[in-house]
Amino acid sequence: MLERITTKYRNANKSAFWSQALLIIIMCIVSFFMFMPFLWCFSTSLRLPADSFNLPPAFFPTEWRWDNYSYVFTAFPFVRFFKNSLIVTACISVFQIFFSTLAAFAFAKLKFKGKNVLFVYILSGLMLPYQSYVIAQFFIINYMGFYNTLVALILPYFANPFGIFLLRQHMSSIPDSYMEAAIIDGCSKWRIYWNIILPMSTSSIAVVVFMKFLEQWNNFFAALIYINSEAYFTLPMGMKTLQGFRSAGNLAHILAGVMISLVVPTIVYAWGQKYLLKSVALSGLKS
Amino acid sequence: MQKKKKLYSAWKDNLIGYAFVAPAVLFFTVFVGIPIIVNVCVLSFADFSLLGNFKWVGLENYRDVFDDKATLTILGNTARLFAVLVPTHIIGGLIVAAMINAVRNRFFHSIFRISLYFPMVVTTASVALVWGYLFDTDFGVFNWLLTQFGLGRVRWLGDERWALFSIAIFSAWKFIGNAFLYYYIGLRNIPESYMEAAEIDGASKLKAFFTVKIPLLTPTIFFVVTTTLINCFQVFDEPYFLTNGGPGVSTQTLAMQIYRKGFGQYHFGYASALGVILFIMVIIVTILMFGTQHKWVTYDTE
Repeated sequence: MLERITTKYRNANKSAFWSQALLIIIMCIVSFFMFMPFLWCFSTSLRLPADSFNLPPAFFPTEWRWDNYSYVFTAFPFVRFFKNSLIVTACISVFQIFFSTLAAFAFAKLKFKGKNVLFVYILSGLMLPYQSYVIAQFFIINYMGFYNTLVALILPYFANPFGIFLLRQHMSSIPDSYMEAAIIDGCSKWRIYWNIILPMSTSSIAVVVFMKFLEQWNNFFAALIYINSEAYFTLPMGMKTLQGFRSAGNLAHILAGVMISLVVPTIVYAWGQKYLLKSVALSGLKS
Repeated sequence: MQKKKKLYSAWKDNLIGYAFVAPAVLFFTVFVGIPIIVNVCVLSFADFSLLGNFKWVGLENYRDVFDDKATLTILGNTARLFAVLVPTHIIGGLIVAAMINAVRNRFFHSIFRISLYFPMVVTTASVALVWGYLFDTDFGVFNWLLTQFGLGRVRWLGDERWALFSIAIFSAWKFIGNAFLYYYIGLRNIPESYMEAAEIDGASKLKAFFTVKIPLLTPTIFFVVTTTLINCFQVFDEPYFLTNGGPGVSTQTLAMQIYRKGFGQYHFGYASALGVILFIMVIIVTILMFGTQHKWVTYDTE
């Protein structure tokens, strides 16, 4: 009897092992295809420029010509693009999270007239396609005199409907009892927001900052419309300039530029992914 | 006296509430709220240039849009993008999320998760450059792979029959991480005990997945479907970098056409009208989604 149970257990274990192995093999193939463009890009960026078009393509580096990377920095105003991108994304990240937490706190914890109407009004921004109001926005920004300045890329993103939504979901789940003690002690609403609610929302704040930072670091469309002179190009616009080198045929140099442009998103991802995975906010997508 | 004090405090509460939401509401109104109203009610019915010269033209812009032969192709392109991206993201994303969730080896688990989400993180413009070379007819990796299997070369981006499909492949690769992440987190938040209960009742693993996990996941599925559909209407960076809408208008999308007409040819009225059409289509999709929501989405009522 005992023997029968153990063989059954062993068989179950065996089949579990094989199904795990099969799963891992299938996913390895999928992962390889997901990573393949990066592998190819990295390996080719280290080839001798004259060899870059040679077949077969390299998926793992065979040469290590790092001078391709230094060349891109000298031939191409990368530093300036980085600086512009950093200014834009940093400003947006800081201000939008401040304004979003303020609004989310009010929507979650305060009582005032017209609260629901205002909330729905802001949420409507979630489904508005940018291109359906970009022409009017362009004329407004032009009228304000911000055309061809970094301000044009910053100001429109201070209101973040998705962030407000996520943060409100999170803040609503904080029990009111935390606030009641503070109210009895005579704390102002600002103190409650700053000293109680904000410290309890750090993980959601991290998720919202993470998403907004990457979205704006990658924002190409706005820069394409609003920026005219190369002095204010952000990194995605810089990529467009880099693409213009295509005819010159120095593939290795172009790909070295691409690799450099991936550094910041990679760092941000490495920092943010633990918040992203733990986030209760994203799993609470219930209306 | 008491009543007066109460009224005063209600007023004070209102003011405090408005003060907290004011910055967000203000910026939203100036850069989104007013523009959308102006775009829909004024600009799409007018003819104007950068210098002003404002003139009402009634429905002329809309007539131009519908008379334009390109419009039909562009709408067709959007439909074809839907046909590729909706299944790959909504179903493919769910399958990989479920598979990765089942991988127990920690190391492989995180490698797989990173590989699926990483393309989502990087700049579209940068990786579009890379994909442009992968698709290259003579030197590209894809054609090299095809020739290794003894197949002929494909002009991925230069052939009208293939160009849009190539863009869809790139877009699927780039953005599958979004759907994947939501599914992945959604699946992780379903307690294992639910599955165990179903298995003790004699259901197979696969059956337990469909009868226990999928229903609990419907809110996430709803969210993913809605955002995927809305995003499909706004594809811009991918065709801009890979084909610039060509050959002809075979890979032109709505977003690209709005950009090209407005900021390329300065037909701002035409571009606004097209923007309004895009807006209406997105609203219809959203209403359809929310209208059918009660039929298949189960919100867990505790």
